[in-house]
Amino acid sequence: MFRSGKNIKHIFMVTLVMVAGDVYGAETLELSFQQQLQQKELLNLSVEIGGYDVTSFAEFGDSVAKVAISTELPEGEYLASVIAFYADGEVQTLAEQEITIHPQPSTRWQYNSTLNTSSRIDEEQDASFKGIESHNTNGAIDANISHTSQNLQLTANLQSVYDANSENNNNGDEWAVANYQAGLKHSGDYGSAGIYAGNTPIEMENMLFSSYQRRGVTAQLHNSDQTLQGTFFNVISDTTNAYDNNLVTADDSSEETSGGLLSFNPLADYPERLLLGFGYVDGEGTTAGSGFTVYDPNTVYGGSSWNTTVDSLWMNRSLWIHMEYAKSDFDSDGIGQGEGEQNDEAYKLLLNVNSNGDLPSLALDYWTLSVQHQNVGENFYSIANLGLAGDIEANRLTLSGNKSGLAFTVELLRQENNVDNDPMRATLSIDYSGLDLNYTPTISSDQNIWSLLGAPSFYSYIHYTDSAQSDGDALLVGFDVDNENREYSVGATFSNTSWSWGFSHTQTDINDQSQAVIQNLVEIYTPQPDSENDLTSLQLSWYPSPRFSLSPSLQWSTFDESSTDNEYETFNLGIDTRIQLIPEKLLFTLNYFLARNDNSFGDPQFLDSELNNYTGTFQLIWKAYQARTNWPGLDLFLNGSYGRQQDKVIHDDFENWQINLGFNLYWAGNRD
Amino acid sequence: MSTLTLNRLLTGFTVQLLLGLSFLMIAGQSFAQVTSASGNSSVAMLVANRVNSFTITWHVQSTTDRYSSQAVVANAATPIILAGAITPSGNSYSESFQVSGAQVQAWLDAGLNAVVIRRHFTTVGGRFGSGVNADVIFRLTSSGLRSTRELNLFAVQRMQLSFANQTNLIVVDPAEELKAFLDVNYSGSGVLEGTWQVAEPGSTEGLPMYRTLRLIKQTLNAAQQSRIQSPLLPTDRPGKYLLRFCLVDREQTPTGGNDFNCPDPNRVVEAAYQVLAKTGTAVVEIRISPDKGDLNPSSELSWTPVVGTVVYQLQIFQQLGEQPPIFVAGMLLPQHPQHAVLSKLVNEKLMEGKVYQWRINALNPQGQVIGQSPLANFIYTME
Repeated sequence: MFRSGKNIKHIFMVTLVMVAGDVYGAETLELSFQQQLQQKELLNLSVEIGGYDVTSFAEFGDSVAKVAISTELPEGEYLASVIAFYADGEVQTLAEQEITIHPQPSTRWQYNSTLNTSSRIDEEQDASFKGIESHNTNGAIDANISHTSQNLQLTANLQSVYDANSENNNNGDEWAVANYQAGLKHSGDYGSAGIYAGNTPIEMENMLFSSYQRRGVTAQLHNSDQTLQGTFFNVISDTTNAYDNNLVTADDSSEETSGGLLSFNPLADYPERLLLGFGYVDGEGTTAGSGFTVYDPNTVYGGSSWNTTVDSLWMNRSLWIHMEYAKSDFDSDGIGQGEGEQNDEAYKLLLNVNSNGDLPSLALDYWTLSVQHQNVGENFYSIANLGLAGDIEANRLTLSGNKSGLAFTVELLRQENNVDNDPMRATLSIDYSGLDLNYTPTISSDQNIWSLLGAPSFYSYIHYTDSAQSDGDALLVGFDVDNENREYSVGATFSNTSWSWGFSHTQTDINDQSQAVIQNLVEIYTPQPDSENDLTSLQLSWYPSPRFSLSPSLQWSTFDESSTDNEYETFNLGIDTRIQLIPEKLLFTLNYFLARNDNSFGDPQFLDSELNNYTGTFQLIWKAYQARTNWPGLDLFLNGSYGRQQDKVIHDDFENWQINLGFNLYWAGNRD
Repeated sequence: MSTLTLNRLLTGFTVQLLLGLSFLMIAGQSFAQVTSASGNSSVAMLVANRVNSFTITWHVQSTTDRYSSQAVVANAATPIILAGAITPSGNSYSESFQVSGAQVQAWLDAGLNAVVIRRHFTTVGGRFGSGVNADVIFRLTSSGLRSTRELNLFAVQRMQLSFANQTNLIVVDPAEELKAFLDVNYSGSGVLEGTWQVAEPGSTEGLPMYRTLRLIKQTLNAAQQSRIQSPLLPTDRPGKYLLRFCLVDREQTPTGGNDFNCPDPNRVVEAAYQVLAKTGTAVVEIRISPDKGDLNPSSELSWTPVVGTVVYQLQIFQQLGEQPPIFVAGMLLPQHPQHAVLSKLVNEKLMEGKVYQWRINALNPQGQVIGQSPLANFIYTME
């Protein structure tokens, strides 16, 4: 189906070949008519492949249509059909056929790389630059290669960065590998099987897996009609960008995770009626890794978890029923510490009805109603989804829809923890209700006021959250929870051919009714003061010509605590400018940012504060040689930055700046 | 509680020296007084599965030097001594502590869910009992992983910053639309405050200079975890960019943040991305017409040509709520001319009065997209 119309970049292409069925590389597709044309006035003959009208490339005979498209189509399975439209309104399908396009034997590669070398030619005579080399080189490469034979497909890709100023890298290394993968896939009558080393995402969102991608080895397979699919993996538990270790396998078994997923459609004739899924994951790891900030980065947690899912789609996908049950044996206080592994369970039920299939859209353009119940035990964990909310029962109802550009979402959510009613734990209930509105009228910007303002889009929302702990639990746990949070927001964006602008305002009111908790004459919990928070934003982008753009933005925030009379005010103003002084030859960019933080405290014993920050960067680029395919390009540049921090109360003024001169060598190429 | 495994890092020598100096000053300070005292800790929670190392910064206002007797856990049935007496000079004094996991577990077993570390500050020459208490409250939990489930108070326990490739490092093409994701794990519910900051080429070659892209204040009320999307990140210049999200916790750092430093170095997550240079292989932007308004079966759609194109791919999508656009219909068209009307086949798939989006992709002989237009909204009408 042409990949559902998505971009076909990065997908193996083949020349449309065929006579029918499997296609490997002919020039013309022939579709023989399975029905005869009727003897009446014919308006139009059309050929469709995978949802696309390809009639412009078709020639029609008495009983056959021949299609020759001058570009390669992505591999995959498509429905091809020839359709006749008659003057009396009748539509007749003359031919309909499943076709499979296989990759054409080929070797393809492409890369894009850059090497940026500069020297700091001047700087603020300040100690800040001590230990930072005045010469710097940084760069990156993004490359991929593939070789395809009739049944085999070999792929490899790499994204890596280098920075000689390694202090700027999160892991302190000069080299880092953002992403890499090497894979071998075989396709045949049985289906396909592939094995991959490197970063492979587990494309599954459930109670076992969520946004899960780690380095390791992964095997994937499916049968010919894709009714049975499996993925098996052994990966390094924590995220990493290291270039010199933990590339394929973990250096230590306490950093290793293994598991698998299976999905199965038992009803061959009605595959959507029943889809069964099974998952298993077992491993040890920390809650840390590159990109994480946690309290205890070194504690190793671990255990095993499994789940089973049932999905069922009815009424042309207007009704979706989803059920999931999961169990785990997991050590959640650290392996070798405290308690050992504990077992627990979790389950989820979801019912979704919508107007995208057989159900009517009623008076709306479309609507979706979703009801969900989820219960996760206190000790249920998965090493591949450590952030999963637990010890919680949640019920959620969501209704969304659209009518003539006005979209709405209503959400009701009730959560309660302490699912086992443990008398030694406090029970917290959180009730949330929200209404979100978006309105994008279809208006020609040539019309009246919109020609002045730009094509509009509006939004608004009201969110209300009530959190409360059961009466009497405060003494049990040493704190009380009883607060209400109201959030109101309005905003709009306007866009025109040469500029766009928008604004938003959000007000958040928090009303805390909790009580102080005293233990042994000491106050161990103090209620939070009620507060009102206002955040106003304004942004503009103006691009009167391809050579010039200007984008100012503004944010203003006030935070007032009523009982303490503390007031916090933040004002941010930024401007981005881009100018092509000589088109495609001499470019200038400049951004400047001002932040002002004013804090005043109701308690006169605390000093008010007033802090101003100014930062800016600029870059002047001379494009000495423009890169062409497989030929490098060269830019010369002068860039720099400026920063100033001004404490108006204690009269402290700190300034810092640097200017760099350098060149950027970049090289891109491909073979297709 | 007699076997406390608490280690005070302030050296005994320093304490003795300060005590000695303070005693020398007692005689001349009889009318001075402490007017306020408070403390801020680098952590808000103590866990039972590791050694907890943290710093408390004591803030004391007085007209002269001040003195504190022992630091104690004040809310225990019998106050527990954590550290000895000090005589700090200046308005702020940082003191380091270590509390073992076994000690935290013992407190939990004794029924304590929180401990209050207290210092009682008085002037060196003041009367006993005339000073001010500075209290710092710590919540106790059995492990960092369990903290989101065990505590009902709002507190951010864990943050992760990543891009679409699920790591905190990515290489992108120039002008590519790039956003990062902040995954937050927290207990209770409350308002997350923080700033998205970026350092760009011009500073990342030497000393990174951050500027604030956006200040956010967002209510977190989903169950214990939320994903927050960053604003659109700058990718207009080749080179290295550093991205960070600084959490602002008004209880820990009342004055909030600034752009030179995050307010709390323990509550920041960082990522990096490298923007490649613009080369001749970049996807060309195609301009299309009409880019708004109504379309009917006889409306002419046109677009700007792209060199090297052999086929233009016209795509029509339908946007349903927050979901990605759904492909509805399309046409493959030859390289000439660069205009078309919707075919009979496509018209059959569109419903009158509905809002759709259309765009054009330019394909080379290998089927690669070498040019693309933005999506344009239209309402389909029969007339």
